[in-house]
Order: sequence, then C-alpha cells, then structure tokens
Amino acid sequence: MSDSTNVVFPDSDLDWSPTNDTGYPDRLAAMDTPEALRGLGAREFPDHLLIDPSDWKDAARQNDTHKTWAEDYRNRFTNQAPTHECTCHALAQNFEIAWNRQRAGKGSPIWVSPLSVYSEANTRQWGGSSMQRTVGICIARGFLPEHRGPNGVTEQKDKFPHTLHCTSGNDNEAGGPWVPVSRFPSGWQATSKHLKADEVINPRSYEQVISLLLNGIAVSVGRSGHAIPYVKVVWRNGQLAAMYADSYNVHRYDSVRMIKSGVGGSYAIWSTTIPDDWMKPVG
Amino acid sequence: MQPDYRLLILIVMAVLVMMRTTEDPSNPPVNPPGTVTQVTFIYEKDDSVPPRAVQDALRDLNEADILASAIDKDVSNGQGDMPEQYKIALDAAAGKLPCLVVQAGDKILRVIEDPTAKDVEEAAE
Repeated sequence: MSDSTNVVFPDSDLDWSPTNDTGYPDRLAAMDTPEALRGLGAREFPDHLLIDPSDWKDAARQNDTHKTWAEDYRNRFTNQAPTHECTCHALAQNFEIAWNRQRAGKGSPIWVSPLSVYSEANTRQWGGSSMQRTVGICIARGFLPEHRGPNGVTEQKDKFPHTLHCTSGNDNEAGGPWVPVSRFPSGWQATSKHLKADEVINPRSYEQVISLLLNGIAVSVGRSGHAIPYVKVVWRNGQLAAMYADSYNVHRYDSVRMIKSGVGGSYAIWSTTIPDDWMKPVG
Repeated sequence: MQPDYRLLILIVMAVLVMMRTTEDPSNPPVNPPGTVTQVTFIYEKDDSVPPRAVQDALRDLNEADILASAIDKDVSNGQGDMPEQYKIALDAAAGKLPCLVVQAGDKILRVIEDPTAKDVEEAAE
C-alpha cells in the first residue's frame, strides 16, 4: 500500500507550467470567481466536509487504506495536445470520478468527450475557455460519450446512439477533427442529458479544497495558464502537495502556493445524473 | 457373462443433453429467491458522506457481482426524475438516513440505519 504522507517525485513534476498555450489564459481566468460559479447554480461548501488541518494526514492514510481517493475512482488519462481544451479535460476527469464514486467503483465506467463540451465553450476552436463556462455547460446539457471505452476504440460508439471523439488533438485513436456543435450527430441532446453534473461545490478557500480532496472528491482548478484536476493530497519531505492527472498522460503536483492561486476558479462535481439502469447509462 | 452397459450409457447421454439445454446463454439462470442482488447506501449529502470503510466494502460487493452503490437521497436521472433502479430503495430509506438498503430483486430484505462497514460486508450473507 502506498503512503501518501511520504511520497517521492522529481522537482520537475512540482508546479509545472506549460510553456505553450493550453487554453486557460489570464483574460479567461479573470472571469472565474466564486460569485460567477454561484450564478451557474453551484452550491456553497458544506461545513460537514471540512477537515481540521491537524487531521489531514490521518484522513490521507485512511484513503490509502480504503482506496477512496478521487484518484482511485479515475478511469484513464487523456491527452489534449496540441489543443486548447485543458479546461474540458479537467472537467471530464472530475465528472467521471463523481460518476464512479456514486457507483462505488469502476463497475459501470463511462468515458466522456472533453471536445463535446469545448465545442460549445469556444466556438472558434482556439483560445481556450474559462473553468466556469465549461462546468456551466456540463450542468446545463451534459457531455457526449467518446467513441472509445475501457474495452476498445469503438466500444462506446457501437453501444450508444451519439458519441464524439475525445479531443480535436492528435492523440491516436482518441483524436479527430474539430467539430462545431452544429455538426454533432443529429439528436445528440437525447444522449448528453444523461451525463450532466448534478451538484457542484464552489470552494472558497485552500482549506476547503484540501478537505474536498481528503473526502475523495476531485477538485478542478485553473492556475498558471493551465486547468487540471486534483485527485489526491500527498506529502513530500513533509510538504503538502496536490497530485493531479494532467491532460498529457502524466501525474504532476502543485505546491501549497500554487493550490492557493487556483482557488478562485475551482469547483468539485459532487454528484452527477444517475441512469435508470447502470447497464444502459444513456437510456 | 458380460454386463450390458448400453442402458447406462443412454442414461448418461440423456443427462448431458439436459445439462446443455439449461446452459442456453439466451436464457440466463435466475437468482434463487432471497439472493441479494442490490445493496445501496443512501444518505443526505447536506448531513454526511459515506464513511471510507463503507465505500471500500461497497466496492468489494461490486466485485462479487452485487450491484452496490452510494447515492444521495435526492438523486435524479437525465429527465430530472428518480432513477428507476433506485425507486424501491429510496422509498424504503425514507426517514432512516443514512441507511443501507439490501434487496433481492424488487424485494427489500432489510434496511440498516447508520450502517457500518461490517454491515455492508455482511449484507450479502
């Protein structure tokens, strides 16, 4: 069993910032405020989720023991390169984790398409999106599943009536051309309505972000020009860091300073719509 | 005198043919009455979350092919309605949250208030 309170990773994985534009420029980051997220229907942080800092390491060890980190409910990595879709890849991870957490495991996984939200968030393809524009779309009309699934590159395409590729990037089978919403498969809303964020939490402090993570709830944040999903809390040389599943097929880590810089644009999907039958997730 | 095995061989062959017939994949076997098929931890998100050990135990049930999940009492499907698969459990849980609802098909076997991980582990028994 891994010990989250004593991890090892290279300095190069801490506080990584992309040198190219990944889709979260300052002008869009400025739009991400707790007040704006509240306007989209997000709820305030429930007090009962707050964990006292003196108990953080104990909570982390319990998550290690019971495999109840958000990371333990995560399906897969995605790779956005070279697109500006980072906010939607961070959103997709958050959604899939919340879906699996309700299902108490990965027994009915669904792989959603970040592109299916990004196409509406930024109709011009390049330039990125704000965090809250994307989560607002997920609350309002939901994701489309992507073509691939855990069991093959056309698993979900063969199974569901409407799917889209994962990304407009060039990630092998996951990638495909840019698709405006007007060219989504006909009647796509009949599928996406089954894959909506139901309740979204609006954290307002660093302590709330860490408490959510220690409760096994993923937190998506935008910071330093890039959006990411935090999935675990770790300690390295006694210093707290948040681990994230970056949309470049790797884990990386943020220091306390970096975590604090992203609180304003952060959110956590607490619950999603749940199907009438897990075997038929989109009806 | 040599014993005549022909009748015995015919009986064995008939039994084998019958066994193959009952394995028809288009007609899967039905669980015997009383077999636990679904275990649902139901809670009020504004008050609590499923304890970590309970989540762990639910995952174990899933791996044993019992539909186990942890849902909020106000869960909804894509139409904004109560998901069909949880209607019976949610009805049984009313006024008892947090609780564990153990089902055999549509039949409620038991409702355990404030359940522990041990309750979840024993739910399949």
